[in-house]
Amino acid sequence: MSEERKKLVEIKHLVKYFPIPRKITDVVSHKSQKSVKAVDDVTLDIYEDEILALVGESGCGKSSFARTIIRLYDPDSGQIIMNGQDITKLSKRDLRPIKKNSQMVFQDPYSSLNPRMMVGDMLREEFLYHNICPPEEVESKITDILDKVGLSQDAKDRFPSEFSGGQRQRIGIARALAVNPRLLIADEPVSALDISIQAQILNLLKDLQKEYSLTILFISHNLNVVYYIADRVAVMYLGKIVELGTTRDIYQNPLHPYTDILIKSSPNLDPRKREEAPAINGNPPSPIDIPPGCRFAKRCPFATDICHSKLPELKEITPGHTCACHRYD
Amino acid sequence: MADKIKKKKKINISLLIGIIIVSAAIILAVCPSFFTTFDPEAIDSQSMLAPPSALHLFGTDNYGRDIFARVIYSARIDLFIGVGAMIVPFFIGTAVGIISGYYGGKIDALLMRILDIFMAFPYMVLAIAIVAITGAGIKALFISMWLVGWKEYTRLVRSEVLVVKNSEYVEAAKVLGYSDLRVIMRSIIPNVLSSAIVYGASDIVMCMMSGAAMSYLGLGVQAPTPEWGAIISGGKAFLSVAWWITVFPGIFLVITGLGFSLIGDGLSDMLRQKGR
Repeated sequence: MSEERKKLVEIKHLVKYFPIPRKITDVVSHKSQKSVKAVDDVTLDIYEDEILALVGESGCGKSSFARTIIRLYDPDSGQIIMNGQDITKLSKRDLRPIKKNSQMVFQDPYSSLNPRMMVGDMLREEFLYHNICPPEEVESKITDILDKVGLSQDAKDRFPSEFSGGQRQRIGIARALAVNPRLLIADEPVSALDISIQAQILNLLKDLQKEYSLTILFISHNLNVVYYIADRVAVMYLGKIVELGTTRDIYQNPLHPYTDILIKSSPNLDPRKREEAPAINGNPPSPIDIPPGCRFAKRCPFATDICHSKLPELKEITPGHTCACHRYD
Repeated sequence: MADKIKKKKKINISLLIGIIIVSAAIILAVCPSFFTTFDPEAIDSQSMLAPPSALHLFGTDNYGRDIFARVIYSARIDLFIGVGAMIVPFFIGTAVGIISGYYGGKIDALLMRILDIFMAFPYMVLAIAIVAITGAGIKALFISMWLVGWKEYTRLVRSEVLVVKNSEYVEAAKVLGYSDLRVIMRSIIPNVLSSAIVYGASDIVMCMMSGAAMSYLGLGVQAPTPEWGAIISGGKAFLSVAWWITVFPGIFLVITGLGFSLIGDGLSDMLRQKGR
């Protein structure tokens, strides 16, 4: 790990709330608009050529965060600087040419492919729309990309329904890589697949990352998968990053109690290392009414008075390893 | 692979029967003179209300007109009414449904309120009002059916769009930076049209039926032009003495309607299999 690495994406104080539609009676009685605080003041740098994993429970805002940084959702406040360019406020039209720089692989390989479009047509459209190559080279480009993701050439003239889940995810990866993106967001790309297929897809992603010098934001709730693939790990809890560090640091020396519990609660194949008691109790608070103080305080075994009143800031504890917890004040 | 070939060979029976019936109706419509030598509008005072015979297959009516010829010649105008009254609402309704569902928000709210207004119109009352303005005839028939027909397509397509637009493949198309128009044309329309097409096939039946109903009431196709509904209407006074005037056009109307219904049924089965 070199010291001075180039930042591909800088995210500063990013906020994304989803307003909940009010009933007409609430509007009349001037009840304030409530919203789901999906992403709440997140600051994060993504370096070039790294695999950064974003982990957290379902509903903690991982996917919303990813969709906001590629402007699929409009952020409420904060800043997104992609490759030196501030894209936070760019209009739809200005955004169009740079959208291809960040692509996405989706969770569900069954709903992420247009069922009425043949694979070849889908790829052809991308190459032509973004002028990736001259029209006469399109066919050979399609051949290349199918080869890269390990699909046979006759895939071109087939519909998505003719493929298995793993193959479909390969098609999804081909779609994302066809436009030569700098940043690839993989939103739980293997959680819908069989274990044996998961390994294939993870290896494929790893290989492609090396080959194309890709930057990958890998979203997952599966810590074993993350351990295998990621260079750095960011742990998210209720719309906030609570810990960030290299994969080794996070797994061997977790600082935040939540990270610790997450790692302990992930299933272990070794029966001697299994623990009887559940590592964590209760559910995260509702992202609509977030209590003051540390968001994890209610479930935290180490919570003290200050945890219930004051929100801890993200601080660098050891070089390259940051954590938001009052235990390190 | 072998499994796939087997699947393709399995022909949808209701679709096949439907296509046979409708093709037969189309052949009648295209060249009616091939099937009968009689002029459907020729009055023959020598053979009024003649029962079915070798000469007049379906008998004659109170003006001595050959019912068989009238029924055959009706196919053209009835198919024209059925398809013509369905095709315009199909396109308008689908377009409104796509815009409403895809853009949502205020546009959706406005279009849906307009739709509600049209929902409130009883079809026959509206038709009679239009007849009062334009006079009875095929024009009034079309205008009234176009005005009331589109809303079903809008509701159907809009609900499909609401599902499809949140799917990950539409998201993927947006991530690729495609324009709204491209997303709609390539990702939305191919995935929402099947239910509208299926409905359209059965809508032809309803259009034909209400066209016949309008003509029966004397608001649609005017005498002496042969039209199944009009013939039935004309024959109702003679039902006790000459059943053949009303029965034969009725049978043709029902069979043609059945044909379109079967096509709609078969199409929906087929599209359901294909879409995964």
